[in-house]
Amino acid sequence: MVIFQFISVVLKELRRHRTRSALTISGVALSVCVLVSLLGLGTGYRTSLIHSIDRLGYHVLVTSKGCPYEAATLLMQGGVIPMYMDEAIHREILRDADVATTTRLFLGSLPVHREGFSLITGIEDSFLEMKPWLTFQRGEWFGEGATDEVILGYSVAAYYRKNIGDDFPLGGMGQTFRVRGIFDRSGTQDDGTIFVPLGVAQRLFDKKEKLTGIGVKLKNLSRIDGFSERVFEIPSVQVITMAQVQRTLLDLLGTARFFIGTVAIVAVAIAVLGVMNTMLIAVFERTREIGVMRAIGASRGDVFALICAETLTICTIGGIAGGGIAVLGSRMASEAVRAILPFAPPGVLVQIDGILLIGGIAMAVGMGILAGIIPGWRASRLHPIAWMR
Amino acid sequence: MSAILAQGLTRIYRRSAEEIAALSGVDLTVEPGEFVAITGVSGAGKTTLLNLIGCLDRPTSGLLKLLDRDVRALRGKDLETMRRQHVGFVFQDYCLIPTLTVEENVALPLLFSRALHQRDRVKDLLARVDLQHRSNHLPRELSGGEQQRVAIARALVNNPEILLADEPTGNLDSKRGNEIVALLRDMNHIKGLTIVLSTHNLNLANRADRQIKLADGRVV
Ligand SMILES: Nc1ncnc2c1ncn2[C@@H]1O[C@H](COP(=O)(O)OP(=O)(O)OP(=O)(O)O)[C@@H](O)[C@H]1O
Ligand SMILES: [Mg+2]
Repeated sequence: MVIFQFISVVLKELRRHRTRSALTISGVALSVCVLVSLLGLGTGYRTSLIHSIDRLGYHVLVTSKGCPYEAATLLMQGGVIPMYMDEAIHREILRDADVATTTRLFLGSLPVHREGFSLITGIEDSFLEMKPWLTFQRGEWFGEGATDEVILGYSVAAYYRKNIGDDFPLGGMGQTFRVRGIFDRSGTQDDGTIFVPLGVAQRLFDKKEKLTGIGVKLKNLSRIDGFSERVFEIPSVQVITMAQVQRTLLDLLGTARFFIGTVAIVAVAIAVLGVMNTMLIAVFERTREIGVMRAIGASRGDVFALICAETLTICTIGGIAGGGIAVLGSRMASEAVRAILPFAPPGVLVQIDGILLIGGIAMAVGMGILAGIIPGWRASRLHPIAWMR
Repeated sequence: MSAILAQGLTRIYRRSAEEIAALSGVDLTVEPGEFVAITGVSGAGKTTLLNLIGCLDRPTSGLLKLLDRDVRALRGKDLETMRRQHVGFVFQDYCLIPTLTVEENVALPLLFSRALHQRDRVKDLLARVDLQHRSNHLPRELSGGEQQRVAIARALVNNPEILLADEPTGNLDSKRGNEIVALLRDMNHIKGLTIVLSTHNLNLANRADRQIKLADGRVV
């Protein structure tokens, strides 16, 4: 194959200027690495976000009125929803024909060990039905009528080094609780939550018969709009559907992706210009060799192809290297992003799959062709004896 | 049919207002199988003439026919074919591609004529110029005379009818120069190759079938 012969000529040329070739290839590698990582961040972030929203378990969350954005963020990050509703609303919702299961929630935060506040959630038995993936690492569900038991999220238990049966001081009133169970890691905010029975939570916050939220699972998800409308009729209550939360956050993410895309395009453009510039210099330096090639029979097309084969080789090697680095560095990149971004869902944020990797390398090949056009054209226009004088 | 036919061949270089006539009205006929030496002092127009015959440059006016084809009527692709298939060119300073080995340099014209399957010709030619043992060396590892022999092999790999050599011995001492001319003489005898070379060296020129002397861009 003629193309391989061309490439073998090119590889020798690249070896002649090792440092220059290495630098040019690094430039391409860097840009492809940035491109692939940024696009991987887009997908990974999105996937993690959708995953962690799905893992809320409810189709619909009914809360008292407030700003839906605030409620959404509070939900994701954990926090106190400052308004309460009557238990009567729960009974009303239970009567709705579309409802499959409900679980009453009471969220609040209390100091633990006097070192800052922790998210406390009062839950009832149906909580686990909503979240079948939430399993016990150790211990078990609250005992019948227990008032001094807590179940800890995975991270809380790890942070305070608590085991089953240990004391767990909660709140400022000197009441001491005992650790009854510890959940497995779920990759959601539940990991950072301290759970108590619903009634205990209501008593701790002195809000008898009050709730902060009701998680609702519907018999059929397609009925969600009708259900939302009916709940909307109830005064002082708002409905947050998970679809809404997703849409709101994904909209935000969409804006972010636009900027990410711009940065990636700029990185690629800089790399293309770099390769083009290096190649133009190389063509200038090789005026004589190109002239000689023409004299011994190279056509304009051959000269063009030789130069393009060189930029193509540079960019393909760079693309493969950059893609590889991006894959190997994706964990580190995830952690770096997590440290920078104000709200980062759990999971691997930079996800680079095969398609993205191949896409990145294909992009590099395209960059190679693009970067070769002008230098190749210049070279093919050189007069065969221009170098003689 | 003549191998080369030139009538009133003229090449004028224009630089702003100045006009330099490097060749003015050269008449010349070279028959197939002839070995012709072009002589003349520096600046006489030898290189200019060979570049025109080698289709590396275009005449300002006059007629130039190679193998019965009117070169001035040829355009892009046809000129390339002429250079690739019918004319071989040897330069004074060898002009090998420094990154390619001896063998690859000789094979390069085959790449351009998409004839790499005829690689055995490379081996034959390297044997003919007595460099088969240096096949895998780079040009810089060879002496000047050896490099020029590689350049001759390269010029002949596509089996051209005409070989042009612009001062092929200009950078060599007289012993190496003689070897090169002897080699060209052999090629001329064995293959019936038409050869036109230029030289300052009258000793070498005397070994050609015929000498053409240029002065100030004219045949004298
Ligand atoms: N590109 C050019 N621009 C202007 N003048 C040129 C150009 N090329 C050649 N000339 C002029 O044309 C004349 C003939 O040059 P040419 O190179 O053909 O001479 P030559 O016989 O090969 O000389 P030498 O023996 O030194 O190689 C010279 O006067 C030279 O200065
Ligand atoms: Mg000359």
